[in-house]
Amino acid sequence: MEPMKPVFTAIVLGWKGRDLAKAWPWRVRFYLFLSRMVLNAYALKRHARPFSLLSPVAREGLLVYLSRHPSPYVRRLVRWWKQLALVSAC
Amino acid sequence: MLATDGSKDVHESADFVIVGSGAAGATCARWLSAAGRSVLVIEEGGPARAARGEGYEASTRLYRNGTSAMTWGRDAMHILQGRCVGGSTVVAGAVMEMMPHDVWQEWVQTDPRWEQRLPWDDLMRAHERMDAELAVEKTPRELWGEGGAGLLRGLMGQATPTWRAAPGCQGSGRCFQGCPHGGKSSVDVTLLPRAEKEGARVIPWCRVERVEIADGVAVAVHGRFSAGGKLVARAKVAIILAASAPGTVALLHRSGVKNVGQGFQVHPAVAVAGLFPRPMSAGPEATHAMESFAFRDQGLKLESVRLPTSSLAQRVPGVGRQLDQRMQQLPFIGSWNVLLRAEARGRVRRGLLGSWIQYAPTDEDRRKLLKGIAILSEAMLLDEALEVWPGVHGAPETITRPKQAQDIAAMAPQAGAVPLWSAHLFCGVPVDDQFQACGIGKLVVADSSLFPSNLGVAPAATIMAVATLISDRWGAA
Repeated sequence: MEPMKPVFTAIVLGWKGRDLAKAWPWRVRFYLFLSRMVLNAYALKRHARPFSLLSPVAREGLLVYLSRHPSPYVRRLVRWWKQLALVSAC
Repeated sequence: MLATDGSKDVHESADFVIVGSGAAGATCARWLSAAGRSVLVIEEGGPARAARGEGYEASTRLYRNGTSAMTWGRDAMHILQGRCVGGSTVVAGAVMEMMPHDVWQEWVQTDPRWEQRLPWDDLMRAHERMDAELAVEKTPRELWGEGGAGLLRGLMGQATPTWRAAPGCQGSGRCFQGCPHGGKSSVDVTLLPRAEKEGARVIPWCRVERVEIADGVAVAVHGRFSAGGKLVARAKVAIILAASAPGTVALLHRSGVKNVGQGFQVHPAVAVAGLFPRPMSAGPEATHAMESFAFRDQGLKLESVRLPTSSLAQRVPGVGRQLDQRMQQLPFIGSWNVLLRAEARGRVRRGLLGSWIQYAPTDEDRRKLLKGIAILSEAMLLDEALEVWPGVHGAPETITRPKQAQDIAAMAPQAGAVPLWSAHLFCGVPVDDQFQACGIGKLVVADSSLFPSNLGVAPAATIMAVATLISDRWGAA
């Protein structure tokens, strides 16, 4: 299963994407892996469980929070996930 | 193209070995092969095929790092570069505008040798030659679309149709995915096939790993095919680097050349989107139909942009249900860009995972970008937009009144407040009067890494004009 699926389905409702892991270069996959760790850290901090175990509403709420985060680094992650979710949606 | 599957080692030689098949590399290949020289063009990506699956195919096949390349820093910006035969010309909007004369004068004032290296009259003649070669023309009225006509109205007439190398444009707005109709004069369908007719050979899927330099003279390039084979290409006359500003610097880093990568500049862009009461994507519209240089004294260029669905949706704020609601209105959403001739200088550095770009706009640059966003937001409201999404952190997500737009211009500049991207990259490699890099003999630079500064306009036309002059001189050598 595409490891970014929980994130992408929370950003683009009904996202049915392709297997990004095969198509994206290794460097992009590596950064995606690191970005998932950041997301899970925030999920643990705010909801005491990893992102994939959150309810859809909690997932969306967390992403909205991160998209308005004071740190530009965190906001940029959400923009990047959104970009990948939209271009890979089908 | 060279008939090899790339699984075996290949040894080649030619008068000129060109690294990169984009605007600069293809232009050099075109004129050098026409002058009777043997030419080998090496390209890291594969043949460009127009993507059919919206953004996904284009992102993975045509762009470097699947459109995910970024600069490093709080103002991190997306770097969009083509990685295919034809380079960024395959995924660019086909805008062909020559560098302004005052920018050339700035170069000459900074270093008088530029007057001899690139005489203005020669540059203009080369520019006219390339315009004829690529059938450049002004965007016709029927391809202005709602976005282009709207920008003209919103800026109260202070905009003009762009000059584009797209004689067969059908206004599908899919330039960034590789034109599906073949209507754009990208170099993979114009200059490179003409060069191949004259005997040039193009080698795709081969990443050049280093340039072999012996006794201060470049003699060969060493590359590796994506299928695993190695390539050694020896140059009898010269090696021409045309791999884009960061790509050429990264190759020089890998080749052991020092003191390159400083002074790197970009031409950052920001998007403003808005919801209109009329359909914005009903008729045909060129990707960049209209542009405005009315605020050029402040370094700003404004342009209309027609985007495919997935790219346009990225400019709509929100995630989840909010994004879903706004996506229902996608046909009524329009988007314009503001580009800045930024003064900031960064650096291409060498790191453990390869070269990376360190870059941050100055506070003055950030202030000008906010001003540009405010101007576009006001123009959208003047063109009857129901709401505008400026995308500035700290400003309202949605604005509906001109006063709110003016407030954006008055905001304090803040790092990372606006999402930036850039496809125009400049500077980083010092050259001599023969365009040889860092005093290394027969190692010629022909791309925008040799430019002393940001042009403030789309650079393809200037890159091609400069590459034409370089080819003329080296072809006759």
